[in-house]
Amino acid sequence: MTRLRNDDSGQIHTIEGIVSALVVLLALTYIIGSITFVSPQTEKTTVMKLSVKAQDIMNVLSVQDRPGNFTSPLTRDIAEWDGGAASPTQEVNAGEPSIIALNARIRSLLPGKIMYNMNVSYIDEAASAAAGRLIFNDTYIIFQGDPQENSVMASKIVVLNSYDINGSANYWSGISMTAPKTVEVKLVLWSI
Amino acid sequence: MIPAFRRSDDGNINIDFLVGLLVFILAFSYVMTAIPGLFIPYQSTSIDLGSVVYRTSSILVEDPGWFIDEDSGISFSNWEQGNNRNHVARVGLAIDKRSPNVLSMDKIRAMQELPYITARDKMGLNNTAVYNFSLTLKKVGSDSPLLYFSDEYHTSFVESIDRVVHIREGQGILINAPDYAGQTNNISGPQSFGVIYYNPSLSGNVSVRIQGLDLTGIPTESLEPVNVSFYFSDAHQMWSDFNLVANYSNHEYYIYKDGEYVTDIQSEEYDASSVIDIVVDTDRIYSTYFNPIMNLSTIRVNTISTTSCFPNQSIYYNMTSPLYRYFDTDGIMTLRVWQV
Repeated sequence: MTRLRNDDSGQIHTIEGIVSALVVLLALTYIIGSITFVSPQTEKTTVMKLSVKAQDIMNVLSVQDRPGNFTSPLTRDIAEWDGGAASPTQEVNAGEPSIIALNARIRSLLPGKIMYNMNVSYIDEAASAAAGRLIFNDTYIIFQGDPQENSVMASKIVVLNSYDINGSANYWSGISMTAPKTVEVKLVLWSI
Repeated sequence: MIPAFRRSDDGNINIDFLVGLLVFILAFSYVMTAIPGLFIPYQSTSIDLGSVVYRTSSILVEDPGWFIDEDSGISFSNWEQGNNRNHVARVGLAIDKRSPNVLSMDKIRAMQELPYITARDKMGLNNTAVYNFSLTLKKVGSDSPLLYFSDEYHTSFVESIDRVVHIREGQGILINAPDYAGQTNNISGPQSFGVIYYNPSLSGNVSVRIQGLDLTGIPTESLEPVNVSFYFSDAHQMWSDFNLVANYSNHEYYIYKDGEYVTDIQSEEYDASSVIDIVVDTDRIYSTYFNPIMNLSTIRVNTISTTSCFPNQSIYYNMTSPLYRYFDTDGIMTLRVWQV
């Protein structure tokens, strides 16, 4: 085994060492300071904005627009809905004037590059009674396609009471003062 | 003779040093990636701004704001009224805390009157970090902003957010003239029409919107004096004889035709598509004519015209009538924020 060399050959000179370390540090600082980080948070901000938008729209649709009256435009539109589903060929069922108006209002609140679907979900009493377990009916009332990546969802619970229903020949049969109907309305947004 | 390469080994970097430097860089980059936030001062500000713009938009859209009452030290949310705006602690445009996204037109108007620096302060953008902002609030389908603040920005690090809002302009009655066609007139005067409120708790602006004038055979209609009168009742809620005719030039009520303020009501003409808004400032009426014995309980709006294009009867309303409603519009608020 050899002893450690006692001369100064093969050593970096002190000043050069410090200078080169400083150069490395300066380069690192410069790089960190100048590049824009596309971190996971950047994408989160985009999704956050879309999600805020979905919630805003549901809030705006659910505003009580008459003093002393607990209904909102959304409740009235869902109460007037006659069971017609949207489909890939029909963005909104042509036989549903209230949903056509609702769709026009949502469209007016969104920039063109955002697409959306809306569906309603409620317990199907007849099917549940026949099957002996709870069966949910989930129907698209506005359909613009299958959501893409990073889609967001906002929902509101709409309670339909007998005074919301006009006429007896309505889709929502069997609603009485003691048995209101609970419907979940979901709005899904995505950017294209 | 100088050799091509020095044979001596001075000035070379030791392998130990290289290894040491490598370990240092590895450790440095590990620390840099493993501790989020350590190098934020060196990063671009876009990550930080995302939360600032969201927070600020929520303050405006979801909160009514507040001011601190000078005498009691208690805070209230009606900062937009009168002298309160000099003591505003935080601005907010929502009508109340339970109604996110529903904005008060009075608060919007009050905020527009604030200087830029005050508005920035009261939005919480002037703390340890100072941000500048630009703010636009427009009705859907309209180009003229209801609320507009702008400051020049010279940086590409700007974060913006759009909020969908519902603007509450006032409350009142919507009268579609054809709904009342052929009904008998029980207001005195030539072809007059009246609206009567029974609402002791009335406050703020109350509007009567009249549309769908029946102008069959009449090209235009000149609306002769709109006569807005106020009836007071005594403590027993009996009708009093005291009848006050409001003064238009005193701004006790306003008339808008298709959204435009009408300065000279005598010369204005209306047609079948006209939308007429009669806006009564009940607060001003109350403060001007307040009488401790009498309660303001009724407002009667009479429109007297030479022909019968207006509804021919008086219509009674109260709070529970479904025709009594809010005048609302949807809007979009755009907020941009950047660091000074």
